[in-house]
Amino acid sequence: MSSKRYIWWWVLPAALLFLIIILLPFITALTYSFRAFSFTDSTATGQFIGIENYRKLVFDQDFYNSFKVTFLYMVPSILIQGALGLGIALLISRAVQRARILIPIMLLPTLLTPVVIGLVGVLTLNPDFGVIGIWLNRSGLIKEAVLGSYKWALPAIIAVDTYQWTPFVAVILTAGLLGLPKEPYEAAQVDGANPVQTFFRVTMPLLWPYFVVAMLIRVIDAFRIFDIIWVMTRGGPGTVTEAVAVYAYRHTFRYWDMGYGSALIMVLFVFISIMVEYLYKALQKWQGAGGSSA
Amino acid sequence: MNAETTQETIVLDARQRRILLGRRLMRWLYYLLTALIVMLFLFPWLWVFSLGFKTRSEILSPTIVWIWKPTLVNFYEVLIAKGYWRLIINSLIVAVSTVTLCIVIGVPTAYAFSRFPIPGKESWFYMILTFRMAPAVVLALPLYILFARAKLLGTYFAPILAHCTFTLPFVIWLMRSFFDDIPKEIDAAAMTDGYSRAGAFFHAILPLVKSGIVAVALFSIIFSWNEFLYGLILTSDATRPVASQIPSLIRPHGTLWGEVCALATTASLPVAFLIFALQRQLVRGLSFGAVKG
Repeated sequence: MSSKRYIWWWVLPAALLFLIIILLPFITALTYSFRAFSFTDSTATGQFIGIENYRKLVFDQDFYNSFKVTFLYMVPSILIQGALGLGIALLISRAVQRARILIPIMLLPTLLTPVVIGLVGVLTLNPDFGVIGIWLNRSGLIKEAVLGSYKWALPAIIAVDTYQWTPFVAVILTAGLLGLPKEPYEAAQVDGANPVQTFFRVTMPLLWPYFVVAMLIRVIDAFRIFDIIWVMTRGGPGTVTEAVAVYAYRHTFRYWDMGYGSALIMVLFVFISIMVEYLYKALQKWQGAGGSSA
Repeated sequence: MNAETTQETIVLDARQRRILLGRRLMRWLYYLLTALIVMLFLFPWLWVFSLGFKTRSEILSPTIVWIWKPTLVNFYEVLIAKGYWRLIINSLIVAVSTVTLCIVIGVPTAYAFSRFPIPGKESWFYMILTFRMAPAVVLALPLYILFARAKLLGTYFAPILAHCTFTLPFVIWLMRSFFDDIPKEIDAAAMTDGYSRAGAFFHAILPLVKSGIVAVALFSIIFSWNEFLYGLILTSDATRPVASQIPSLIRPHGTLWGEVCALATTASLPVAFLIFALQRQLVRGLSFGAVKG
């Protein structure tokens, strides 16, 4: 009994801090989500309105659009980053004996301030003086300003996101490749397997757990995308790049509708919890299989 | 018999030489491709940073200026004349306070998660990950309301507490993976030597995870330094961190690109430095301890 109470002292400070910075805001948002409260509407002074905010949310086309945009961005980015990351990892793990030296340089786009990466996107794609924008313009590939174009704004976001996150995937997979055991390869060589067979029968199964981790982290992170879009397009033109977080920002800190914003936050929170639960279960399953000690 | 063997050896040698040559060529091809890819990742931001050292007409030139006389005017204007060096100090204050608080609070918690039979441990642990993974905008509104009521808006406390929402979960998650690597027998041995549980933690375990704590702290500083949204809405002009200020310098017309790039370069240098300081722990940190590269 006394030893159990002892445990609490270890976690008490963290529990208290979480109480203040997570639970309290959560309860605040929950109560506000049933109220009409807006800084821009003088009749909405915090009166109870039941599920009106949620009803409004369910019928808001822009809300569904934001999910559509998020998936339109997420699926291609993650597929491209997975494929490119795998290719680069296979290449550098073969090319350089001490490939680890390259890891910090490679990771610069991933770990640099996202706002700065967004700035890189804005400037390189500028049609008047950007190093890529000028070329796109002159070669006639894209005649309009990329970020102001209904057609090209989202692909541009995907391109910059790919620039930022491909190194992340590549580095996780490189670490995986460098840590793979030698024996299965020797066995494959004895059996006379060709490189393609070795790749699909030996490398991929062994590398698969790393691939899953990298992809799952990317999926959840992709759902959070905000900074880059905010710097590059602010969700525009129209709402073609308005991902979930950008939509939420517009309704909270632009329109200052606290009630509606809170209802939206509740829905997003539930959505994220479900996604993270899947990630966590997959991680545990994999670690249970003994793949973590690479 | 003997002659046959000799002949076979010679034939093999020629084939071996061909294979060897092929391998060497492949190796050079790999080197070349690797160098090309690394360049590809470095080039866009090196080009953007180069704009910070150019004059306005050199930046806006419709043909890219590749050779020019570097100027520090942009850095002087934005950092000294406009006084934005304050933003760097603000970022530093927020990042260092956040990380200190989260390390002091989070490391013992991570140890408890690694060692003690906490009821419902794994569910709690997964819930903590949810906090880390939620978009900032989810907590930004309620935090804004609460901090407004507590009269904390515009103080350093607001961004520091807000940054704890993602830093503390990260510290707990990653530190647990470091504690899990240390055999429980070491705790037991220290306690047999007469240490209490806390004594064993401080004297036997903490020294073993020292490098882990440093890595977690450096990572957390990067994440806090990079954060944009909380730093924008919970602060005033006097307490705003640098990452939160950069987007507002980009205007529809007449943006001073040279100054924006100079500020972005200044803000990026500490991060680049930390990345190189982290070296071996990068993979582990980025995968939340899942891959111990």
